[in-house]
Amino acid sequence: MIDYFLSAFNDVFTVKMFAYIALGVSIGYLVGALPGMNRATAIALLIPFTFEMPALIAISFLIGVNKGGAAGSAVSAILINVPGEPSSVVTTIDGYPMTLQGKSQKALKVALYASVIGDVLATIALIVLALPLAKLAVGLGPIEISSILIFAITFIAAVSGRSFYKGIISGLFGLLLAAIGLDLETGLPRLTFGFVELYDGIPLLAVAIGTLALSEVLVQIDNAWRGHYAHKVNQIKAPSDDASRLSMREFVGLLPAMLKGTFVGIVIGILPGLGATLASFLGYAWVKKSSKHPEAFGKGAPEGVAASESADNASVPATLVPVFAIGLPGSVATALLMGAFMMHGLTPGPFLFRDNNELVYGIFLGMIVASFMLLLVGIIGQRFFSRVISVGDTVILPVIVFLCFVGAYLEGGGLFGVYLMIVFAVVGYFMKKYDYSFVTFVVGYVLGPMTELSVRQALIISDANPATLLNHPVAIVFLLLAVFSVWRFSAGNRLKLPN
Amino acid sequence: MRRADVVGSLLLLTLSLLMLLVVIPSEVSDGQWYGLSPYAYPNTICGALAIFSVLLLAQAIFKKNHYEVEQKKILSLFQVFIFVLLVAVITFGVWLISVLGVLIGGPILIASVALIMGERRFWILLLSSVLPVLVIYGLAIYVLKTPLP
Repeated sequence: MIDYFLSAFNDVFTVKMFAYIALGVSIGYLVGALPGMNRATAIALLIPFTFEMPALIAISFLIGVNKGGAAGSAVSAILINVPGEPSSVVTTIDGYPMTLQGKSQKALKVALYASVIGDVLATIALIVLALPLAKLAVGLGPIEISSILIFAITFIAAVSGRSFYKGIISGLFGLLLAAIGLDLETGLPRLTFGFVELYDGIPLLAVAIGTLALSEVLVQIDNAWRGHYAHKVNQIKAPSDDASRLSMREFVGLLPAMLKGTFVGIVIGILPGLGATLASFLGYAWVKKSSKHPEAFGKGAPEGVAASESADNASVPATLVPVFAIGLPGSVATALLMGAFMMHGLTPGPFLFRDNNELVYGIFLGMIVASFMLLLVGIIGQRFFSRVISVGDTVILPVIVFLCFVGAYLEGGGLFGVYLMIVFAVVGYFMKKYDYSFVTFVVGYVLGPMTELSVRQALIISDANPATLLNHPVAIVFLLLAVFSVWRFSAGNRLKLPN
Repeated sequence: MRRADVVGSLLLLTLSLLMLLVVIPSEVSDGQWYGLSPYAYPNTICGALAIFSVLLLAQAIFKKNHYEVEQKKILSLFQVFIFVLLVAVITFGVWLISVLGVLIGGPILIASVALIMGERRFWILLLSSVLPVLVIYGLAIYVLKTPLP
């Protein structure tokens, strides 16, 4: 492993690479800080701008956006009590009371350090875990892969959103859209309705930008109608210097909370579909339960901010473990990153280590650089980001509409891709309004071609005989897990987040 | 939400049946195949879609206690109007860009959306609609070397 890192060292430690990672982290931080916009949206909008970049720089840049977004979401959660992303909802519980006590700077520092610690440790966990898991995954055949994919989509449908049926419908809808294009075997058009532009399938970015970014803008405008577009930042003066400073002693005191949050973030992040929001809730709940002063939580306890932010950021690199190991995205952001891998000619999964070893370790090194860049950008730019969130949505949202146009246009579909994006924005709007899981939808869409290929291969190998499954215990386990997910979650016994 | 689920599941059921009975037979080309018929995969997905739509419908009708928490109306008529207006303006803006180019159509698109949102300050409208277009245009042309319309 050390050899691979050394060979990737020269590619990563360049001014250009550092500049792009810094840019990615800064953009992510900014987008994360803006209420309502999230890192998945930023990734979808920025993928077209990476087409001209080498794969290593492009992927590291996008991962930087992902990491920055997770950390930046704490800014608005702490300062204006509006989380930049759902995963920072928990940060508002103690972060905002700290602001009301004049300790906003201290809260921001706690959030930043917790984010960086969670991020660094989870990146190390990714590096340690990905290769052994990928080695295991290399031995899996089409039958096992089919069953893993069926389980993944079922499980994500089960745990995301409020209704299992809506989740699975969304996933199936994603799979159906992915079936548009040329048939794998015959090479003849399938569901293309005479549009030559659809022969390569529906462009990923038209789907992603439409359902994530543009639909989110429509929802934001809709929700905040009647002039509630401005965010007021509380400017409560710190009662003393100590209220703004975070001493070394305080930092050391917060370390156990950060480590607990990180542990939860890593475990939850690896499991597909559970996401950063659940991680930050569980991290917070664990730290509160094990605290000597649980009554202080909710009234401005720095431990609460540390736990939720470390869990949130730790889940970001952890969600990449299944991507590198078996090519399985567990969240919208990782599904988009997987799409970016493919657009740069890389196939995520175990063979990535075999075919592009140096690149993989280059990405790992880039992720470590991004972790430290997160600290740097946070320290230097936190005051700037704090000011930016007070810019009204009437300025930001229309510009995002234009960026959506550019993003969909640049993917190569031209205006056809742009009009498709508008169609998917309408679909995404109703999905969001009526609680159809767009996480399962996007994951289903990204996994569609792989699912079809492996199912076809599995049927040919097994001669469509179910008895063949008896020779594939791994496949049986995952199919049973899929059945368990359906039984467990369709009965209405869904995972419930703490109040 | 319950009524919305009834309507949603019926729409989805109609869509999946339409796919199974009309669209897939006419829009999937037959050819030489070895393993799996070209119809099999989309048919399987649409079949599953139909089954889960029926299950959602059954849940919405028979499991009323499932909906105790959320009974509020999700979309008002006014919201639908705003939504339709926005989609129309965005579509018109895209068409305008395709006709007049991004340097003229882009600022008009941004300014139109901002106006709908209630922004009336002239300088904010001007700067927020012109500057981003110039920056993105420069980025696309000179950095990405990709022409925009």
